[in-house]
Amino acid sequence: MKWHDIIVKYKDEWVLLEVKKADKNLTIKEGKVLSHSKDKNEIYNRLLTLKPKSFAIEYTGKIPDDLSVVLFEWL
Amino acid sequence: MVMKIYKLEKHGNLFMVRAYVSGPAGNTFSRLLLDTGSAYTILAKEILYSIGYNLGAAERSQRIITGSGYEMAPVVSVSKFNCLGQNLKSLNILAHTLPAGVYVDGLLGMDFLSRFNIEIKISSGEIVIR
Repeated sequence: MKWHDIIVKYKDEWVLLEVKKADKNLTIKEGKVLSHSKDKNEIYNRLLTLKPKSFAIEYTGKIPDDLSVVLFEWL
Repeated sequence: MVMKIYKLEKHGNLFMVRAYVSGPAGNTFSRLLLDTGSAYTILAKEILYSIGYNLGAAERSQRIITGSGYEMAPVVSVSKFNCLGQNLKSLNILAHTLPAGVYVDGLLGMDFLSRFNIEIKISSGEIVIR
């Protein structure tokens, strides 16, 4: 399934894709949807069960522009 | 010297990049947050496990502090890491799953970025690699 069809069919969801085609910028162009969910943790759990050979986890909605991330590391 | 320019994925004030990571059991196309404040490149534990890395057998761990306290993150040496047109045959990555709300699978840290002569153009959302 092409990426633009995936984002229509699984709108605003996380999808686990078996990658069929990616471009030179590593952006997914085609894939087989192995699992989909509103909850990313469910996708991680499915990933551990299915263990596809070549995969990507993608969000089909719009990533918010007001997203902020504060992370710490202890070195 | 060859100069290459890559367009970054911009979301608000954050930049994201795509990476290809390969392991003994498979490979993944991941979205990473470009993070010059992170000493390490980080990828979700579930992803590293799924491409064949045994996190329990990692030779060393790195202590990190998260929103819920301290954690020991296994350090995994991946056999292939491709990002921003750069192919590395080996890169140490911390196995740690970030909260789902950050929309990325991990972080691209200074351990990768400092290997190259890199200029990040904030206004145009581009990265120059020389």
